[in-house]
Amino acid sequence: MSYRTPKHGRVVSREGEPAYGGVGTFCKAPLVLTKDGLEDVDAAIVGAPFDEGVSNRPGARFAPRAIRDADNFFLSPPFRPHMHLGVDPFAELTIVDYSDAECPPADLAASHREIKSRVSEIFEAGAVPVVLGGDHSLAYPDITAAAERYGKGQLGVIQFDAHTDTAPVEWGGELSHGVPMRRLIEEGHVQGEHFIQIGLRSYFPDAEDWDWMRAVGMRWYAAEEFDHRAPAAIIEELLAIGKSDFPDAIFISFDIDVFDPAFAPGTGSPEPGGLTPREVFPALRQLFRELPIIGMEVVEVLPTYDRANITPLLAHRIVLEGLSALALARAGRGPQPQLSNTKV
Amino acid sequence: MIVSRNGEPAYGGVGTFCKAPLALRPEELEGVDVAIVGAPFDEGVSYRPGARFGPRAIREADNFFLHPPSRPHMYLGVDAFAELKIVDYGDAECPPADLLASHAEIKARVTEILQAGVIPVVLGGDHSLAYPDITVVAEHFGKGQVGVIQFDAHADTAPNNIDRAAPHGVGMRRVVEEGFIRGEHFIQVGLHGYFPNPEDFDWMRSVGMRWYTAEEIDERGMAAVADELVSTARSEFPDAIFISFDIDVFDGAFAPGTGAPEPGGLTPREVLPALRRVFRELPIIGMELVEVAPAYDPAAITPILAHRCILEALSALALRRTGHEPRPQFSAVTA
Repeated sequence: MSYRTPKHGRVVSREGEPAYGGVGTFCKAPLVLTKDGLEDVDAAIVGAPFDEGVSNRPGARFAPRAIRDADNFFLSPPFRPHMHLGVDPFAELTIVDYSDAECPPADLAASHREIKSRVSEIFEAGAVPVVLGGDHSLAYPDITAAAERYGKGQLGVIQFDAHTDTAPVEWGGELSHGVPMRRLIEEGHVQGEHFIQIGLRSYFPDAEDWDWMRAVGMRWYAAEEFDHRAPAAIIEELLAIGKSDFPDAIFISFDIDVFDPAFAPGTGSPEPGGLTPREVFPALRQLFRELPIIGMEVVEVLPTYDRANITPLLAHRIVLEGLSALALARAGRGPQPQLSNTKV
Repeated sequence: MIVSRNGEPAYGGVGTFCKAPLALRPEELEGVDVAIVGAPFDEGVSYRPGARFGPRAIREADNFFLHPPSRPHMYLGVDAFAELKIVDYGDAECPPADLLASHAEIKARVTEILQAGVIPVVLGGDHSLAYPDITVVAEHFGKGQVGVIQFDAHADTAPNNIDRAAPHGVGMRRVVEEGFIRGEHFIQVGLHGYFPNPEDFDWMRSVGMRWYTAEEIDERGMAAVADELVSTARSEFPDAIFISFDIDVFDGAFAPGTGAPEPGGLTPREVLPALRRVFRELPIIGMELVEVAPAYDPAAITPILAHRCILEALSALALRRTGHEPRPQFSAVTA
């Protein structure tokens, strides 16, 4: 089995231990708790267990653990051969679980500081952070950490979300989950023209906020547009914009509520009319394959509202699809799908 | 009567629909455009009960908005609460364990709304609600002078030959047989499942009823079906059309919290645009939304979807009243 052992990090699983047994690191990846253990790591999973930034249903503090536990029948050591890409991210990349940031209950600002420290450590080690939220106020510490690493205004953001999160700070506090994208642009961390949102719907935000978004050059694709144009055409356009107009470092901010509530009921503000996994997975893979993705966050998973655990399973899959496509990009080859005799 | 403090969040305080003002007496309906009214009963079901909790759950399935209500529609470019005067008329006084008394009460409340010249939006309750709702609408606009568009998995046209009061599977047959609605003024959208019997489909054809099955929508596409539906209703229906919306028109994946879920249903991305077209392009005089049973749905996605169906309808109605074209919030990539 081609499994790359990190220089540091602790293997916390017995060999052959099933996914549902033992200690639940992400895909049973080795555990790293100190930054010196990040040497030569390609991607580090880190959790941000807090939800004090929400305007509606809380519960995302339980998501990092739920997403890690939402693994299926695989054994330790980790392997995940992707049947369409023909790559195993655990063979191509050194992936570790950097555990959770020390988010104290009832102190949103302190949680943001802690997660920013952990994400900065991952960036400084040259690894790609994959941050498991947590509510979407996480975008502010994550993306400011990325902008400090790659340069203020030198970072693109692609956001999958039902909501723009561009409200002005009027209610709910300047750290809440409804405002981070506005603050990031207003404070110059990200330029508006380097910001694209995908899957928008709902009755949020206000008309003045849309005007502000247009004024600063933000772009978006509403969920509705996926019914008027072929999703593949939208993704082609998105990739072209990312390649020609964006800086060489792009962060993915992924709110699970971009999916229709049928697919992701366990979330804080579900919005009917959302995208499907079969629309989003190929898009996400193309982004990771063809654009310089330097980090990702997956936010707003609320396991308590879920039944059958389908929302954490979907979030886990989002991370795996991102890592698989990143592995293919690093391997520098094209996809090698497992085609059947009806296709070859 | 305003029952919310300014800035009060959606999840706080008293839960009227979108924190709209509460009206409890007919005289408070003066100058109102739309009145939401609840019908909390489920004694008409043939399968899972629980729709008595529908009206409260739908009202509470609101997200992060504050009082006073505002809901700018990002695709239509209109705010229903800015264009229309919308009130919450509370619930009808439906007594437990007495279906006919519940029907009588809801008839009285809907009649008050219609007499005030207001559009009723009735939150069920089980679908036996259709009989009281549609009969009062027909009494108000004229017997045989109202069209009905029904979104539903089930035709609800079984013969009422079991000697029961008024269950939820027979309402559409009764309103046609008793002359309140003419069969040719009745279209059903989204039928799927194994109900009703072939003889009942024969009866439906014989009285001129029309329908689009979920299967047909898959074959032709909802946009083409909606085109045909709107043009049929425009040319052949009377100038007053009632919408009977059963949440089980959606697949059980999207609306698990319902009494008789049927696999193979429609999606919100098919139904919401069609519902907006109907409200924007046809003379809709009332709507009912039925069969939301919240106890089967721990994530509340069914009440949230029901709430959204009403908001989409009200937004499209607001656009119709303004006479504007839709003004979507496009970004630079799509403008």
